[in-house]
Amino acid sequence: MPSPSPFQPLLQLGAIASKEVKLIGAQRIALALVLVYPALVMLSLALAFGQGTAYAEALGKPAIESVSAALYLPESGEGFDRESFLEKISDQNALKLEFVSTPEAARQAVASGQKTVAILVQRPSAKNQPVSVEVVYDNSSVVAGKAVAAQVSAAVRGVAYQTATELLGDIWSDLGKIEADLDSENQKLLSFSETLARTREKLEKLSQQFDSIDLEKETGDLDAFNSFYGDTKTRLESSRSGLEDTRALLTGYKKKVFDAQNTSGAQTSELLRMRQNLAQMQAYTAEPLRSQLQQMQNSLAVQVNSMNKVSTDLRSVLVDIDSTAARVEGALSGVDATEVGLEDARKSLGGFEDSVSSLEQTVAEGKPTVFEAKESQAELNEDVKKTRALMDGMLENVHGFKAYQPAYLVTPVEVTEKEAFQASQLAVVTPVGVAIVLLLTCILLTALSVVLERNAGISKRVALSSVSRGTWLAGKLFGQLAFALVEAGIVLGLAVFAFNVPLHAQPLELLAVLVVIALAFSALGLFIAQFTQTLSTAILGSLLAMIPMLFLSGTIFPFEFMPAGIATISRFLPLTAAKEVLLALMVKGLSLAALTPLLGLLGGYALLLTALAWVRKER
Amino acid sequence: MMKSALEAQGIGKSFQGRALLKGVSFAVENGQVFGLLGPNGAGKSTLLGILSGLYPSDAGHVKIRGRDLKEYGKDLHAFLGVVPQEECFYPSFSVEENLRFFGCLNGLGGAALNERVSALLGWLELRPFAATRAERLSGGYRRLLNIACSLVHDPDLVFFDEPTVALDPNVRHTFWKKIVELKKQGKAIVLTTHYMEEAQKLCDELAILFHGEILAHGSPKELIARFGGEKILALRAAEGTDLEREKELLAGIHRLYPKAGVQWKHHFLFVSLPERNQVEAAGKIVSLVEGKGIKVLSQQLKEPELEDVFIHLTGERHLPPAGVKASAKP
Repeated sequence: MPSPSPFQPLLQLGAIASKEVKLIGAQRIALALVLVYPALVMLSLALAFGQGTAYAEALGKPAIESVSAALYLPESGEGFDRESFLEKISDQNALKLEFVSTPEAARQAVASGQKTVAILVQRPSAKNQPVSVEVVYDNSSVVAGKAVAAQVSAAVRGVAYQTATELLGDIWSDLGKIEADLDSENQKLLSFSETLARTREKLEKLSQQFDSIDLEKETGDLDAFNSFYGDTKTRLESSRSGLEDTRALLTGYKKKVFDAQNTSGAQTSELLRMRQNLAQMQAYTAEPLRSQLQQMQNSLAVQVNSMNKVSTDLRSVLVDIDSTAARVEGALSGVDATEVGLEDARKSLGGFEDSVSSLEQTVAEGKPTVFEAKESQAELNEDVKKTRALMDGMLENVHGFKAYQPAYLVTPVEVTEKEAFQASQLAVVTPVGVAIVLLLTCILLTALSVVLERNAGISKRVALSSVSRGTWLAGKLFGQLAFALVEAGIVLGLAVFAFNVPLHAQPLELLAVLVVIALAFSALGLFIAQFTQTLSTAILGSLLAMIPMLFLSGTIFPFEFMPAGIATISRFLPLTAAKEVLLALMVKGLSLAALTPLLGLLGGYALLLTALAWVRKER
Repeated sequence: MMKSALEAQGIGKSFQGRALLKGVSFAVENGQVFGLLGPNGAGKSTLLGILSGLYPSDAGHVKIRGRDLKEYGKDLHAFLGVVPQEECFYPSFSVEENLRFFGCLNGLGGAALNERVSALLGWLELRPFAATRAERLSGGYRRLLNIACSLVHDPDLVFFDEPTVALDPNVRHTFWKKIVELKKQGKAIVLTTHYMEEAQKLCDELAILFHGEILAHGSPKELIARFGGEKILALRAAEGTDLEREKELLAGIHRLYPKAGVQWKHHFLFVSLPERNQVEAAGKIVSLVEGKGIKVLSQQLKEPELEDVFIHLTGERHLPPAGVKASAKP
């Protein structure tokens, strides 16, 4: 016998290892499933958590990045501007908002599973008090609930940050204005100060000028002279006027006398011509008329004599008038001489007039200064009034700033997180546990049962018996159902009695739901078994169905972190529906009626998969 | 006119382009055991599958109790029992539980079920094991339980698919006895087997099925008379001899007797001898073998049997290859 090779154990090891590989390889379906299984694990994980990859982008953003929220906003009031709050919260990309009219409606949206979170805004009791925001989140998913609450709270804090930024921005802007106003006022005050200095200088100069004038003396002298001058002037004027009147009278009289002289001369001539005419007429005239004409010639001779006498008298009057006129002219010359004397006297008062003139000039010069000073004072008054008003405004602003409490400026919106359902974490995960137990039990046991029976020839015997395939499949499902109910009972029993998890659900409703879930999962096992021949392929085939469900149903990893497309598809998985139904009943306290769509989905799965199993076998 | 319990006419079946059955026709009467004799892969189980309604045929038709098989639904199984080759029951159930379950599946209940279970337990000598889990029974009793499960609803037409494969001789004789008893009860029985002895002893009528064709049909005696022909030289060479390799020897025999049927297995050689000078011919063949340096341990001339009919018809020695199961069926 040859001595054993020192490498014998290694060779044996290699042979045994090689045998293992061959054994696995010999079962082609099992081998295929073994190879598919890890790929499926990775594929499921990648589908659920492939954020950032191209396909994940195509499938939409995870819900956590845009949380579906029911928003209740009160009407605007003291310290709360609805529109402004709405604008700010709408700007938060992390939220997909739907408005509801009451806080109860918002809570109900979460309770019924329509929304992941409710945002309840409460108007502050007074101005400059923080706005209270309550974030009510769906805590039926332990991880997602807290993550969503944190996300939404962060979004609301974003509103707070924006509000605080705006408030501080306003204050900053007001301070800027105050600074500019103060600066401007300061400039004005400087300008006032300069104006006042200039005015004071002018007034002081004016004061000195006024100080140099003996106003009383100048005034007394001037008054005395003026009085004398005035009286004398008046008197002279009056004398001149009288004299001139007299001269005018005399001139009038003279003219009248001349006129009378002329008239008397003309009448005398006329009378003489008439006498001549009468004389001529008399020559031609017979008696009696001749005598009458003679008489008339005699009468006319009397009148001519009278007229000659009058002319003589008038010439004497004219001499008198001329003599009187000469005297009047003499008086007027006297008046003129007196006036000249008076003006000379006045001229002799020239220095006095200069000083009066200088005084007048000083006063004239001082007047604008005084006016200017008055104007300046008026302007200054106006400006001071304005400055006062401005200061009042600034003070008001500063009072406004003081009204803001530092805490309010830091947190103008306060957030509190609140769980939508009063349930402990264990109470929340218990339904998930039940769903997973039912999934594993029903799928695996049903698939294994079918394959075992097929391999044991039982299926053939059943086919050769008078029992219908429908009855057979239904019987199998109901048998599995009984076992599944025991399994669920163990989980729930332990939860309730060992860990004090409260069981809120109605026992009969819970039983009905468990029945539907178990039937759906068992039907899935039945379906899988139609494609598997051996126990190993049945187990691997079941795993192929279970693994994606475990990863994608939100039981282990929350939906909220999956791409939207995957999350939507995942919601149609039987495990998802099972988990949601149990959570709704046991945690959310919803009625069976509210669960109709989910129960319908599960029932549909049960019927469809059983029918497919039945059809495939028939084929 | 009495209707045949079973009547097959021109049954044809192909699978993946290969003809499994080619125009198979026969009839079985009540109180008759009909044997389908053929090697593995001949199409026996496929034929039984078609007859029991498990698979459809591509050609021909089957009548059971005078009614076309296609007209039957599940009601067919009320009077048809199929005893499968493999054990088909729940190993973890007791004998009685299995019987009750399959009785129930076949529509029995209450007193009828009790009565039938009790009768079967007695008839198949299973009563002592009524409460024993099936997986704990010995191989023979498990096979009896398998029969019991198929007969629990007391069918009139019973198909046995190779019922005695891998059974020890004692159990096999028990089986034969039970089949004969069933026959006496007036039941029509179809039996597939590749055991010549079993077919010869049990069957009233036989069909030799080979590559999906019935080569011959009749009672065992008729078949031997018709096709058994010559005596057979059975030659046993020294152990370790592989006649498979002795191509030249086999060619030499053919040259001597071109019409002789020659079969071999390991160190056994069977040659159907010509009608005349059989002793001389046997001597020549032995000399030829020994001339090749092969040591002959024994030689025997024997009368023809059903197996010889088979050899005659198929040109093959009908010996089942040890440890090889039937080929895949559709």
